[in-house]
Amino acid sequence: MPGRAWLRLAVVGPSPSRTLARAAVLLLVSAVTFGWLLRPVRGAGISMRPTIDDGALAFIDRTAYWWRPPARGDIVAVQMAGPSVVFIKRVIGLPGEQIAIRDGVVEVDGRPLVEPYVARRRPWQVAPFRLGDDEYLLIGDNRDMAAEDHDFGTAARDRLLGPVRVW
Amino acid sequence: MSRRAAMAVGLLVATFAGYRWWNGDERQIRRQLAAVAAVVSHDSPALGVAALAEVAGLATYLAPDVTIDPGPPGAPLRGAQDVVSSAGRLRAAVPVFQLAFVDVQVAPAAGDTATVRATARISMQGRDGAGSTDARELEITMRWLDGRWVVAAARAVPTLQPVR
Repeated sequence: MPGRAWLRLAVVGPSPSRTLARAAVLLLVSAVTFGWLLRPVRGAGISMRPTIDDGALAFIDRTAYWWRPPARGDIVAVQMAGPSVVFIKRVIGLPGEQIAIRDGVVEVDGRPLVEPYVARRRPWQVAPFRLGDDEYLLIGDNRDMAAEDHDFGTAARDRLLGPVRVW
Repeated sequence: MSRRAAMAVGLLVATFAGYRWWNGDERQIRRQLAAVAAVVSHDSPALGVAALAEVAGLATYLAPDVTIDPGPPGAPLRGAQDVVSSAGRLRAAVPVFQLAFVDVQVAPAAGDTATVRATARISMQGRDGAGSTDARELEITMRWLDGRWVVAAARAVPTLQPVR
């Protein structure tokens, strides 16, 4: 092929306008997918160890809760002041449930909760309390730290952006 | 109106709009908060005169009666001098400290105050080299004082409501 015609063909294809249209569609789909529907986040901190390590890449599935409410065991992104920084925690208690933590073991409506994702736990103590109609209890997986050093607590449904998918 | 006159008027309007945007309250407040973050942040444990002067410069961004409530486990700070002293102690104790205000939302100013919601993103490295990161939601009250916006109050707002 003469001159740089082969390079032009490789970059823009035989029909530049069609290539441009494809690139625009690809850009739009990527922007919607990764800007809103499946937002990438990077783990920072230790509260979700060992499930999510510092620096791990994860994605927030913003569409999941259109079809179903948050479920126990979901790893969720919690809205802070805006979209740039989110808390990542696990849903432990659901609206209306009575929760207590005795010697590090979470009890839901008086029954101990099986949590295979918790590697080690310290003897946290939380007196029994009942979640409100729109309240979820969120705790990180790393229970091998003092309760005072671990951000956990309740959040309203509208704070939960969606489940977090970790790869 | 001739075409040349219309262009001149358009240019004047655009210049005025640009000036208003550049000097708007929201933009000024964002600049002040970014400056506060820059003064508090450091990436070396330097404690020379220059470092101390830099920390002392923090007072220019604060109201004299400023109150800062960082939330547990930090204790509330009252007064610009108290805040500057704490920043100095932080610089001496923590070799690397980076603060950034992200997702800054400025509510329209009412009189001489404005309310800001933001997330403070903090990363630091201790003397042993161990790093840690934290994020806090903040509610900041800015006050117009002597021709500029200064921080009058800041408090950490819990993202998760504590249960203990």
